[in-house]
Amino acid sequence: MYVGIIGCGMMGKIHSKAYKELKGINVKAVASLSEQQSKECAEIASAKIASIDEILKDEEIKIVSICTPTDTHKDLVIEAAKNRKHVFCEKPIALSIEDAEEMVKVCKENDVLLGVNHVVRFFEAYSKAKSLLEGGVIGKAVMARMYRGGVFPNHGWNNWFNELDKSGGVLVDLSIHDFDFLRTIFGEVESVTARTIKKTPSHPGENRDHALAIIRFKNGSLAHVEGSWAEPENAPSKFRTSFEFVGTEGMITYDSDEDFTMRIQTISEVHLAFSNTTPLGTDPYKHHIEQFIKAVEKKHEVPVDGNEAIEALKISLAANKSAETGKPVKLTEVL
Amino acid sequence: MLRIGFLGIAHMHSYSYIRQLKSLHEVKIAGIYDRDTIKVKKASDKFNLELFKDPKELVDISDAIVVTSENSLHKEYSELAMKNGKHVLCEKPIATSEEDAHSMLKTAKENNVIFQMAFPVRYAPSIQQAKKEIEAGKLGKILSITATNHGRMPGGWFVNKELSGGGAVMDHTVHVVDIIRWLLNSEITEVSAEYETLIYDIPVEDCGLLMLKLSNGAFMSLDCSWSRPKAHPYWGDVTLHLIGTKGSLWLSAFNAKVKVYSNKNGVIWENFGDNFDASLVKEFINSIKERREPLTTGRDGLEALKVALAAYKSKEINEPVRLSINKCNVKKTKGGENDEKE
Ligand SMILES: NC(=O)c1ccc[n+]([C@@H]2O[C@H](COP(=O)([O-])OP(=O)(O)OC[C@H]3O[C@@H](n4cnc5c(N)ncnc54)[C@H](O)[C@@H]3O)[C@@H](O)[C@H]2O)c1
Repeated sequence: MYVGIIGCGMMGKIHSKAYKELKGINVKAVASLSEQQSKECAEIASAKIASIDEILKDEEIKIVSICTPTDTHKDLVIEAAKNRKHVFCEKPIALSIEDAEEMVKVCKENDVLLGVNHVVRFFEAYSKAKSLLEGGVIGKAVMARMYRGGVFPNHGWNNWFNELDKSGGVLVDLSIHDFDFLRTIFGEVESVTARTIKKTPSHPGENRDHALAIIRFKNGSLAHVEGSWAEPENAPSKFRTSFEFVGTEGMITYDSDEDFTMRIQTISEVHLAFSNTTPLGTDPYKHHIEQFIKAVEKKHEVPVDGNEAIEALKISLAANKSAETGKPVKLTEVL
Repeated sequence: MLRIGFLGIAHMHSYSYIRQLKSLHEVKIAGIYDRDTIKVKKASDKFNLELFKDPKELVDISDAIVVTSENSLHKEYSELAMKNGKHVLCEKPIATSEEDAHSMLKTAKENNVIFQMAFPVRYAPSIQQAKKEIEAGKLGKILSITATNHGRMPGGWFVNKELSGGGAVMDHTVHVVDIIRWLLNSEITEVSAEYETLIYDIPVEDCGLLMLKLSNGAFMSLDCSWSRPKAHPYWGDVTLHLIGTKGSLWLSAFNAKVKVYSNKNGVIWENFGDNFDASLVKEFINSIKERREPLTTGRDGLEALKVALAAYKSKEINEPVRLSINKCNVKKTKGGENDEKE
């Protein structure tokens, strides 16, 4: 099966590598607005460099990965769907519910599948916790604390993460991973109370967002979610995630800065001076993409479809709205 | 020699305060009283202390009183001591209602006695150090605070609202609110809360999440849940994550630990840090000797209580609750960028 990748930055490379390692899958072409990045992806995936149009018009290409800045997802997904491509889109699906609903609608009309890369569900520490929770080791899960963040992502093409109308800020871009994961544990959300910095006085005019959200689920469970791009640039640990699930019979916790298998410290100016990692034999991105391909082959459900991505986005938008109004926001208020 | 009496030994901290006071040579424990005769007998046997049947009798022979009774009795015992001219160290929360707390402050003032709140975390060396780091300007202006004060579910009278005033929110809001007010020279101006009884079959809440606004403009969340399971190697935590314009600070006040894996006792974290209660009771003794305000005052107790009560109210009315701040509440130290804006 042939695949096309649009957007060749950080995620484009990760998708390229994932497809490359899957049997029977060939990345035929990649496209982006950066010649250099397209070249890098083409090399990783053994693909050719093409224009978006060439990818969309190529009859051989069945699946298109959308790895572009979030504000471009809507138009690209809709174009791809109209050209009868199944679409595997990076998260967040879009920046508004209206846009996201249109994307889902157009995909349906054109009889193509839409998958959204809420990949945290496939991260080993998270899926391990989920299966432990389901196995009942800590009784019934009732409360959670999630952290995700670190320094500002300055790798973005034309620094797009810096623009709130492109990234949506930390609650939309980053914490949405935790919102999605929490939904798989506690179900639907009732209301959100959140606060966010958006533009810190230390970086006037810039998006160095930091956000706290308190979530009440319909089943009565509570969660606290913290997302951050506000740690100082020179912090040794650039990115950290952690979770804590409290159940009626115990607790499950994880912290990427404590629970890892390898630390590297170097004097290099090219590589990170300090990093904690846990190399694994499995790649969560590959795992997710593999399942999406199975769905295209009609052997599997779409692992995270557009409607689920919309539900996660609703939580992000409710949180942003609460931060604006200072009041708890019901999910039903987000349209 | 300073003679100190204990009115009420219902709170588990009373044992720790007794131990700490016993180790000071300028202090003698005059005796203990509790309305629960079994409880008081146990403590008196354990520490070899004189047991009193009448609280007034104990007050009369003491120079100062430690109140570690059930929360709703703090007022009665504190005022009994104050009205007889005795200094008081009172366990947190100060009381279960704002009226009681106001009355206690008034009584202390009228009788010209020292009234200290037992907020031991403020005496923690890492909190003291954090204050210095913030005042040195390392973090710039603080914008966001994520805090936790987790613990195990204490059971007993703590889950009886009549005696405790509430569950996890009442028990665990005040410690962190106190340290934040002090660290940032700021008052809490707005409170939203979500809480619920989720873990245990008890008549009060065991899980709580608060969202607060500070007078310096920062916002803060606080997890006050009794959510540490029995299986956890430690009873709980006090953690802070501050985001400032120039840096961030992460703090876990009880994390000076060695990890013990014992075939006999399982996994246990043993703390090697300083005992905060030791500094707390020393401050009580020193403020009496020097006739000065202690580091943690009754007023601090009142301000922290207001936040816990506002949390309950906010859930009841499903709206953030605004607190009016009285400017003179904010003790001025040199807070630099974090001073309250006029
Ligand atoms: N799932 C995850 O773990 C994860 C992690 C990071 C980012 N993301 C998401 O992935 C998406 C991309 O993020 P990134 O970090 O890879 O960004 P990036 O800036 O590194 O890459 C963006 C790429 O898109 C290209 N591009 C920009 N506009 C385009 C357009 N109109 N048409 C075609 N190409 C265009 C750029 O040339 C660049 O190659 C975002 O939606 C982001 O939120 C997901």
